[in-house]
Amino acid sequence: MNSNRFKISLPLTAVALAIAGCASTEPNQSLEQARSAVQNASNDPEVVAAAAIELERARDSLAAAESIYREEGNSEKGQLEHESYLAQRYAETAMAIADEARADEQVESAEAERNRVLLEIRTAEAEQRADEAERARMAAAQNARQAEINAREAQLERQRASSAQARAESLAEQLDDLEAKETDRGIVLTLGDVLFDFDEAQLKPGASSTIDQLAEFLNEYPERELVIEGHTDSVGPDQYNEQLSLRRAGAVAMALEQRGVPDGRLETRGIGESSPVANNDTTAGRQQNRRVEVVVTEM
Amino acid sequence: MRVSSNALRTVAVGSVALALGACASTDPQPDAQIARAETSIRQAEQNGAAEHSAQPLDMARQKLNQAQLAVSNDELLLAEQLAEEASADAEFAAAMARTVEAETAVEEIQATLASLRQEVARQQQ
Repeated sequence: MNSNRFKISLPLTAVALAIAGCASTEPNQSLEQARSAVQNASNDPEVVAAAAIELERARDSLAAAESIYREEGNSEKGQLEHESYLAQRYAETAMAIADEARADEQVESAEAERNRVLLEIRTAEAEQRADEAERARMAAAQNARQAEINAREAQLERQRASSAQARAESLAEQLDDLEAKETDRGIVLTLGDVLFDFDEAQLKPGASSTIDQLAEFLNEYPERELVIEGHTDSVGPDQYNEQLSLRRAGAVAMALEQRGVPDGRLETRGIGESSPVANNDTTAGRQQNRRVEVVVTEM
Repeated sequence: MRVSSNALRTVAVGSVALALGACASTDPQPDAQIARAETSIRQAEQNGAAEHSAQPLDMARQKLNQAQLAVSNDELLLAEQLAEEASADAEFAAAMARTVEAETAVEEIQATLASLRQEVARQQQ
């Protein structure tokens, strides 16, 4: 250090020193701030990585400031302040750029995380939709099976209905066989005396096909009820004939009950000889009068 | 010290001149520094410095004004220094503005992420 020569120039710089107001060896606050800022920036690996150019400028300016300070002390205050200021600002800029880079990295990783979570959500939604579609498919298959069953049942029902129709038609024919007659009281079927032996109330075995037809008709038309009336010829006492005719009507009712017709639908009456359909003076007439009439009424 | 006493004397005289605000210097015109300061300030403004880092931006503008004033006073070295400092302030303002915006973006995406995670939690219930 050439302090002698430096001192020679002192008188010339007296004014400047008076304005600067400090000795050459005193610490310079701006320079110290600049050192500290550059040091902080250099210690941050992100600054080194993301703001190398700014850090380099900061170091260059700090080096210039150090050089001025070393060689001139505070005598070149303006230039020293200037370089220190630049060094500090460049270091601060470098740190801000590093902060920005850090924030950008955070955004980037958060975006990656967001995409991962979004994918998770979309996947879960897709699975849910697939589950729903599977459930819907199964429900549709179930419905189709049910529809098939329904169709089959409907088909069976139609078959049953048409066979019931056929049976009803054949019954109507059978009723014709029973000599059904439309009267004011309803349909009247006349069962001739061939059903019973003379003075008997026991149905003859040959009567059973006639009774079968009648029972089948009643089962087919459950809304109908029957009034079963026994009639006799005029031979014998009135009261006896009434009893006999009532027992014969009862035998027919019993036979129908045995074929599944509820007894609530059956009413029996013993008319006796009081309601002849033919002349009791002839054998043929008496035979016509010995009969059971079945009156079919609406319930 | 390798600086000659003549050179030292020159610097010392120069500093006296500067300190007194005299304008007899032979320094070059700081046109490039002033142009660069203007560019840096514009850049900072485009980066949103007026909103996010108004203080360093204002310092840059003031120093640019002072630099232009110094040029018209023929204080060319002072003008150069002021223009350089204006650039440094403006560059700092720009970097700070970008940092604020990036940090805002971080907050926004993290809020988005938080609500997405809530959705996932709801979905898993």
